[in-house]
Amino acid sequence: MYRAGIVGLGVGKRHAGAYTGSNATELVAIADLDAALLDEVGRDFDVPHRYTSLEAMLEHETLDIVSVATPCQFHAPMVIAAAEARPKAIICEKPMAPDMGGVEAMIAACDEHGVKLVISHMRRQLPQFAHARRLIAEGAIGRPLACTVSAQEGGLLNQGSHVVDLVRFMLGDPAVEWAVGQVQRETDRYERRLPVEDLCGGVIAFEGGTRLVLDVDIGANPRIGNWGFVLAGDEGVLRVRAHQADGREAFDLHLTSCAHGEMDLASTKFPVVDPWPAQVDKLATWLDGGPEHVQSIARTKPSHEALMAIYESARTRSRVTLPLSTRRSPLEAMIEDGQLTVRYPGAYDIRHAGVYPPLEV
Amino acid sequence: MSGTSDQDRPLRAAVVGARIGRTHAAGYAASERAELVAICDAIESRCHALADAHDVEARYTDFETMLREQRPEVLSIATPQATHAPLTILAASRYKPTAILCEKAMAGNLGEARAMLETCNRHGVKLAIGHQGRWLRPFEQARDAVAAGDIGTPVFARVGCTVGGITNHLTHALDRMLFMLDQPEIEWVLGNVQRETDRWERGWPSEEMAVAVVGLAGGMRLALESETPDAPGLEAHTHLIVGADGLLIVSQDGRGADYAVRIVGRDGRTRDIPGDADYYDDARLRETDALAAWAAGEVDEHRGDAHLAIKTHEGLMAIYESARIRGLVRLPLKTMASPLIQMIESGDLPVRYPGRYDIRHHTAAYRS
Repeated sequence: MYRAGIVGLGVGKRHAGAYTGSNATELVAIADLDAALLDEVGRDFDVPHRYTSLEAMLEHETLDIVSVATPCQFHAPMVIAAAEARPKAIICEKPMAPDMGGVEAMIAACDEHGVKLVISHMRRQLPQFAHARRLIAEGAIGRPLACTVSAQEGGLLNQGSHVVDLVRFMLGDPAVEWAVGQVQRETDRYERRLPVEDLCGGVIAFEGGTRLVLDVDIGANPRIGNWGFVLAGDEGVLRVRAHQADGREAFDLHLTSCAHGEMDLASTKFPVVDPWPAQVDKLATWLDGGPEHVQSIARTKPSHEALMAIYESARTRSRVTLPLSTRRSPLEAMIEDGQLTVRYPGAYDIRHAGVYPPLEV
Repeated sequence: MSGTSDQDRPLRAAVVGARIGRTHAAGYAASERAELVAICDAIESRCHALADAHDVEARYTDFETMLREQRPEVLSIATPQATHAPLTILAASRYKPTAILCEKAMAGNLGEARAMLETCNRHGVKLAIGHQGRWLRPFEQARDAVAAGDIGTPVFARVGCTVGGITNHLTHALDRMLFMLDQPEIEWVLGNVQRETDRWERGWPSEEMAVAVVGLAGGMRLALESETPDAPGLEAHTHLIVGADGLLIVSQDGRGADYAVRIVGRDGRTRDIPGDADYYDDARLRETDALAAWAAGEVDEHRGDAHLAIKTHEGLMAIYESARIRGLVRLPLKTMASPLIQMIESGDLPVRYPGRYDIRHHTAAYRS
């Protein structure tokens, strides 16, 4: 049994359920600044050791797996701190960091201490997306030419990170070659204390040239829907429609293909998979010497680079080729440099929950 | 040809701008509805060369002299874009030809384009813009397939160019897309441009690269790319339209000519329409002939009608504006001047690699 600990219990609750439900893991410790949340999760999952800081948890526990499920700006320092305690693996929530420098630092720390790093892009575990990936790999749409996805409510880092990563997953995890994007921030908008744009969009080009046309928070895209995916090739098109069914996310696939004709694959035709325990089970398999986790940092890092490149393109008014030279957040740089001035003042947070340590952390 | 007795007389056609105007002149020369009576170009030798080619006697280096002396009923303006507004406004307000075919890009900014259109409206002059993609048969076939529901309701589209800039090549690409999609309104534009070198096109500032996501009425997105790297299957001027039931691709197969159309419809049924070798000249002939027919009153509309073309132009200017303000631009566009020039003048788009050059510098006469 791999001994697991979690820091950050807002989203970390989901990790708790996964660790306690898995035969390969046991949840031995949790940490959160919020005493009430710590009690609640500790009680619900019968967790023996509870801490009000990551440092205290790492000091007192010997953990095989650490989940870092705090807000984005704390991921890099906490992953680095956790890596120094040399667990076997870390599961870090998305978005990985507000910038590229934080992600590079996380990777360096994990490499140095021999820690496997997995990003919680857990929808990669859903059979619908794995099936889409297989169809595309088998040539069902021919050569992939252009994809699009539209996400509303949540910003590029929070929502965009998921949809970009899923497109990359369906395309077989291509590297990102370049991006051109634009962001708007006319209001003083934050997401859990991090500045976030009002809206953004752009084009991301993957190796081989396949384009992803992305729009986030621009407004309803009724023809494909929120979290609707279109993947078009020279011999067909695969669409993924997102909706809710029985209180769960459901994803329906629809293929129109020169080679395969038309295929309607409703979500109900796939086995029901809860992605949270699935990502934990797959991690245990990887630790046991099995195949690399599909959410490994090596697989998912380009998804984050693409997001940063969208910001950087807006900052520099240019087409940004990867790897990115700018390590800090180009969005914050634009705000600080007065390149993205607030026209309608008044700070607000679109996802303000939980208790935060001082911002210096 | 059919027509009333008055219209049996060919309309007097004139061309200003003897370089791009060559294809216009060839169109009028071939049309039974028009007679090519005059050529004008600031470069005398070029004026003579085109006039000689069509046995036209009246040759001018001054535009207004030509208008005054020849009183053309059909006028083609095929000069660089920054001159389109002054020439169109001069011709329409003082000499009132029945119809003007002005080359694209419509103008250097939106304010001038509106002034052209309003002046022509006021003086009863029919104004068309030379987006001849609307006359290319592959795009007609694509438009017909979309209209027939072969791919279902369009949900997403993408087109890209690899040279020429927004005002030279992307204007065609956007215009052809709007044509194939049955002229949906552009609701918003989110875009970005790059100009790290001091690049000009015939004396007019030109960006090096542009990308935009465009929101069309009904909610579908259209992605535009200008001078981004091409890729296999995404060669220059590859138009992709995805519908609820399939997809459509109009492309040059990477060979730079002969637009072919592929339609993948319900059940994956695929129809490939090969390209037409004479695609460009054929389109121009049809465009000019249709202009003469419009001028003669034989038909009520022209595909290049500036009332449509100005929407393409507004969409392009909105890409610059989105880059300028770093934000989403909802149409109608409020900024009338060129947002590209504003960015250059304000220092928002500084040249990183100095040295002025012109990508389409054919004569010194166009130097500003």
